[in-house]
Amino acid sequence: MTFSMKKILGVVVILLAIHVFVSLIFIGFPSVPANTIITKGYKRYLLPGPFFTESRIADSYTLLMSWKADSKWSPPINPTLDNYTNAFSKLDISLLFWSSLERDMYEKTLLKIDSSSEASEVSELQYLRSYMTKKYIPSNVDSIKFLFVRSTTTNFKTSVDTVQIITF
Amino acid sequence: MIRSKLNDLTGRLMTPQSNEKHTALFCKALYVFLLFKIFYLWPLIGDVLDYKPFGYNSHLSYLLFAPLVLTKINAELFLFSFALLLVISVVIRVNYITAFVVCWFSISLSRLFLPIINGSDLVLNLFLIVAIALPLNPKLNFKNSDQIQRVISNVALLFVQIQFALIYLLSGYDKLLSSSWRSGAAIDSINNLTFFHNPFITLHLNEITCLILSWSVILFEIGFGFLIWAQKFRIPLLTIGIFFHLGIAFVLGLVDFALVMMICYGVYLPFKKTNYTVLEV
Repeated sequence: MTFSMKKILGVVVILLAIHVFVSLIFIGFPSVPANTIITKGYKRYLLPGPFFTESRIADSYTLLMSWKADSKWSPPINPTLDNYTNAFSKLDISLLFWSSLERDMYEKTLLKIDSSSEASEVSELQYLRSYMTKKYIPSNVDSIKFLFVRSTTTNFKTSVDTVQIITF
Repeated sequence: MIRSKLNDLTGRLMTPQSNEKHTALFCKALYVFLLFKIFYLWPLIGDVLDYKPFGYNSHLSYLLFAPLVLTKINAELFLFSFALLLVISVVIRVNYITAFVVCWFSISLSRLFLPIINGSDLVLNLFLIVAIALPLNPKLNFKNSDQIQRVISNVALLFVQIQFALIYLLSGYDKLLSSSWRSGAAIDSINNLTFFHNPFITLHLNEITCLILSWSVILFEIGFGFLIWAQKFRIPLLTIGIFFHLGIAFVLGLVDFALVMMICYGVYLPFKKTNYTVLEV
C-alpha cells in the first residue's frame, strides 16, 4: 500500500466521519432550518424522511362529488377512494398512483381555496372541476357539488368535518 | 486509539472484498423495481403532464432533467426509452455507464411524476446516485486501476450502509420526540387514515396494543441505526425489518416504499473476504 493512497483513503474516512457527525446534528436538532445549501442538501436529499411524522398522520381529506340532473341530486361519489379500494381488490398498483394523483389535485386545491378570498377564481379548482367532469361526472348535468371532508384522528379520538362545499 | 481505528477502517476499505455479486444484485434489484414502477406509472403519463406540465426553467434543470427532452417529442417515448435502458441494464453486467444513465433517467422520472412521488423515490434516487460508484466495470486502464476501482466501490458501499442506517435513525428519533408516537396515539391515527390503510384489513387496536406497536417501531428504527453494525444483530434486524416493511406494504398499501427499503437491505448482506488481505497500491 503506498503512502499516498493510504493518505487519500484516510481523508475519505475522515470526510465520512464528518458526514456522520453533521447528519447526527441534523437528526438530533430537527428544528435547524433548511435555508442554506448544506442544510437543504442534508435535510432534503441526503437524509430523506422522517416518515409518518405526527403532522402527516392526523388528517385525511376526501372529496365527495354529486351532480344535479332532472332536478335531483345524485348520491355522492368518491372516485379517489374507489381507485384506492380497487387497487387492493384488483391488485393494480396503477390505481394507487391514480388515487395519489387525484388526492394531490384536491388537497392542493383546498389549500389554495383556504388562502383565497374568492374560491371560484382559484385556477386549481377550475382544473379539478374539468378533470373530474371529464373522468367521472356525466355530461349534460345542471350543477356539480364538491364536498371537501376532513377526518382527524388524534389522541385516540376521531372527528369528521366538512371543510368546504362548492357548487358550480 | 482514533488513529488505530482510522488505520483499521482504511485497511478494510483497501481489502479486496468479494462484494461484486452483492452490489450487482443490489443495483439490478433497484433497476427491476424501477421497471415495474414505469409499468404502473405508464397509464398516468397523459394526466400527469396535463396537470403539472414539465418545463425547463433554469440551466440546472436542463442539465438535471435532460432525458425529459424526449417528452417534448412524445411523453411515452421517454418511458419506453427508460424501460428499454433498464432491461438492458438488468441483462448486461453492472457498469458505470448504465448506472449513471439509469440514475439520470430516474431523477427525471421523479421530476415528471412530481405530484405523486413519495419518500421511496427520494431514497431510491439517493441510492442510485451512490450506485454509480459501486460497479467494477468497465475495467479502467491505468496503473493499479483494478485496486482503485475496488476501493471506490468499497467506499460507496460503506456510504450506502451509513446512509441507510441514518435514515432509520432519523425516522426513529423523530418518533421518539413525538408525544403521539410515545403514547401510541400515532398508531391509532395511522389505523384511521383513509388512504393509507388496506380497505380489506380491519384492525381494532386498543390503546395498549397501539402503545406496544408504537414503541416497537421506535425501538426498531433507532436500534437499526446502531445495532446493524454489530454482526450478531444484523440478520435478526434484517429479518424483523422485512416483516415490518411487508406489514407496511399490505396494511398501509405503501408497496413502493416497502419494496425500496427491503431491496436496500441487500447492502448489509455479509460477503466473503478474499484470502489475501491488504492490497499493494
